[in-house]
Amino acid sequence: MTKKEKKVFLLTSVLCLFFAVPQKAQAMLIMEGYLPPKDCVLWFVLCIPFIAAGFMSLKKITAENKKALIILAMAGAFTFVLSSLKIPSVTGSSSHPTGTGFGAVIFGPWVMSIIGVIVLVFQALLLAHGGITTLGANTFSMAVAGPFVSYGVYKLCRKLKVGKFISVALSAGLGDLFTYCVTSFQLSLAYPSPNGGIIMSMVKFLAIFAVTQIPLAIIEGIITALALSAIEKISDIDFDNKGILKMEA
Amino acid sequence: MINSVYITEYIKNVNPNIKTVFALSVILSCVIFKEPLGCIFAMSVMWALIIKNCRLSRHLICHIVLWPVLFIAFSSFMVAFDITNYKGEIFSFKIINSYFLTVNAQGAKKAIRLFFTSAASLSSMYFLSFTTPVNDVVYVLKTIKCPKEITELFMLIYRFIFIVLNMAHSIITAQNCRMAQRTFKTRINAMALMLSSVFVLSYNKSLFMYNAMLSRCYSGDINFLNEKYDNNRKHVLFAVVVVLVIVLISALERVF
Repeated sequence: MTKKEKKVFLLTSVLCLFFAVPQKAQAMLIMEGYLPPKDCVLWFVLCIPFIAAGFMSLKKITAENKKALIILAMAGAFTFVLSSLKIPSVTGSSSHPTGTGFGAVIFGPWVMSIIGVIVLVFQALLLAHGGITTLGANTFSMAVAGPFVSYGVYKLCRKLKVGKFISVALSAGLGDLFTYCVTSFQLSLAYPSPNGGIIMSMVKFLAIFAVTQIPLAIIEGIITALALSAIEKISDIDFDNKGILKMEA
Repeated sequence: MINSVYITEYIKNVNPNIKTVFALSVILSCVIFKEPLGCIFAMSVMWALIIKNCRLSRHLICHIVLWPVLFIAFSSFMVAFDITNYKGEIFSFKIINSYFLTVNAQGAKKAIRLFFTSAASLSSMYFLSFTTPVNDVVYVLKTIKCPKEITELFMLIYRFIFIVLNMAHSIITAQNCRMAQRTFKTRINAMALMLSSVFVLSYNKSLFMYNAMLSRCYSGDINFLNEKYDNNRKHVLFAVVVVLVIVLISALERVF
């Protein structure tokens, strides 16, 4: 490669990073056909315990309270819409929030895992984001890892007497960041570097996605905190004392 | 969204189970073999079926198809890169000290295979999305004995998506009229306010809907009407032949 060609190549790569990734990061969903079969099976299997527990939780909630199914359906639709909306980004473009923090704080992580799977199926069928073979991997990162970290961070912050606004912002932001780390790990596991192995590949994927995902995580944290505090102001929903589903029971 | 595409009566009446199994078999055969020629054949068949049976506008193709394809291209492009302590065969760029961002022949080959596999799988996914409305997906879920709670939740979420989406778009339009997108700070604030309003409105709407369902004797079970589909053997034969040809092409490509 000549020096000029190298420069052109580098320039186009940088342009891709700044313009292609922010618009099409699609909340870090792995596209259809991107993962090898063994990885697809691995992530599907890893999701099973969470999905099973989520299903048991859903069954229990709907048995106790008939209204819960309708509220959960609304939550699912809201999560879908939230993840399909573009949020303002500092890189000059826009991207989509994961919505995991929002859902996990309001409805809890177990129910969110089952809602998450359905939302991911809709994203694949209606928006062609993600896919069916990558559903296991996407479920693990978006509907399991993200919500659990968000919920854990929120509960920990509240236990440490951190303010509600900061707790929500941290939980949504860290949940988003963790989702991005898990996706990078999934990609590096599927495509390890021939020289440095999984770790070097993960460094590569983390570095590439960091350009957009770190600012997005911060913005999503702020937006989630602002939205939840506005919800508490305009309605009588209190997320701390009792969940929205218990409140309606 | 994809569900707004017009599809012919012929493809609509094909049994959704056949369409789903066909699309998934094509995706699996592409993902397992990862051979470019097999993937190109799969892509050609899928797009021929889509174009024949769906009325797609140029705008829709650009909006729905072009971006994911660009995303696949970019993602595959990333796989070609490696961080090494020696110069690459095709490309190398010094990052720090003795470390280079490199592209080797092996990496480039892997990226090309990945691009075709992903593009073919995405085409099959599009075939499924364009030709199978969500009501038909519920039919498939019932066939595989998916738990009732999940099927009901699936259908209800689908019904709610459009209500919530319309609400969000109306609020965004109203905010735009009031210069909400003026600065970064106002954009963040507008987004947060919109989300909170949409959440509270849709929450209230779900409670109204529950009351409406109660007044119509809702007891916890939602019954959906099943449509009758055409179980033509020709469709099954066509699906089997296409999958076999993909497998054959891929196997031959691998051997030679």
